[in-house]
Amino acid sequence: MQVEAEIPSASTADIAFLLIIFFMVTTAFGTTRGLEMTLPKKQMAVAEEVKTTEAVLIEIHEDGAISIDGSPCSVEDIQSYLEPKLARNPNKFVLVKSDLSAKYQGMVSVIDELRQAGVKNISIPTQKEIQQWEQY
Amino acid sequence: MKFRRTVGIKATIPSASMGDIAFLLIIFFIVTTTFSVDKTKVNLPQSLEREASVPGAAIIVIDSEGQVFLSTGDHNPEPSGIDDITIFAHNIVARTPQMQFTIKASRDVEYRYVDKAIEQLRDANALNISLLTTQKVRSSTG
Repeated sequence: MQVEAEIPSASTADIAFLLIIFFMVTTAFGTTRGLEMTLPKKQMAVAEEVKTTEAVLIEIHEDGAISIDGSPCSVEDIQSYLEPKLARNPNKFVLVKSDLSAKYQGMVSVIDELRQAGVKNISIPTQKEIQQWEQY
Repeated sequence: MKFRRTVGIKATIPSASMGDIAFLLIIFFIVTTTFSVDKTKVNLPQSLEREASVPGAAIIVIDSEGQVFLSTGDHNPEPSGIDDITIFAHNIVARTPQMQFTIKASRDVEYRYVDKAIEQLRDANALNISLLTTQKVRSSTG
């Protein structure tokens, strides 16, 4: 009886599928996604100072309530309020101020709405900056 | 009239290309796999708009209690104080000025912690930040 010379490769597919299962289990697709923002450079902060009268002011209160330019509203109303303003000036500045005791989700919801409305210039002053403005 | 079968063909499922397909899949997974260094569990805020963060970004984790964990992006975040962010970010920016900082904060944390983190990143001359979120499901009503 003659035995044919061959390399045994029957288990190759098994090994390959084991490796596939390993990579499928360990792979994490798109888990790190979020709202990207560019912080102003320190020397730019003075040059790009915005006159608050020209900007839309959105305030998030301690209980999560929102007001635009002093009038209470809901998150869903932000887009409709900004639409005519952005039509006149696409580079309209929007200032977002949150109460320090408010939940972080409130701020994210407002930024999310502004992004959907197509606002290019979103300014989120920190508490330190707000205190500096109030001194002047 | 009966015909006589001359050639006998065995019924088999061709599996010769199985290994090739499997190895192609392996190469795909090897190329796309990114092992997450950050294992902290945080209830992230939700948003509809989401952009992919840069892989290997430095991570600032703020849990619902306001506890801060910092990572340069190549190891699991370690507990730190919120006032340590400036030095942490300054050291990274000195090496890589365009480095992205990912803020992974709990949706329930008070905004004061995130405000403080952003303030310190600005003090350290950080330019790019990403506020990590989970996908919000668009409500059908409205």
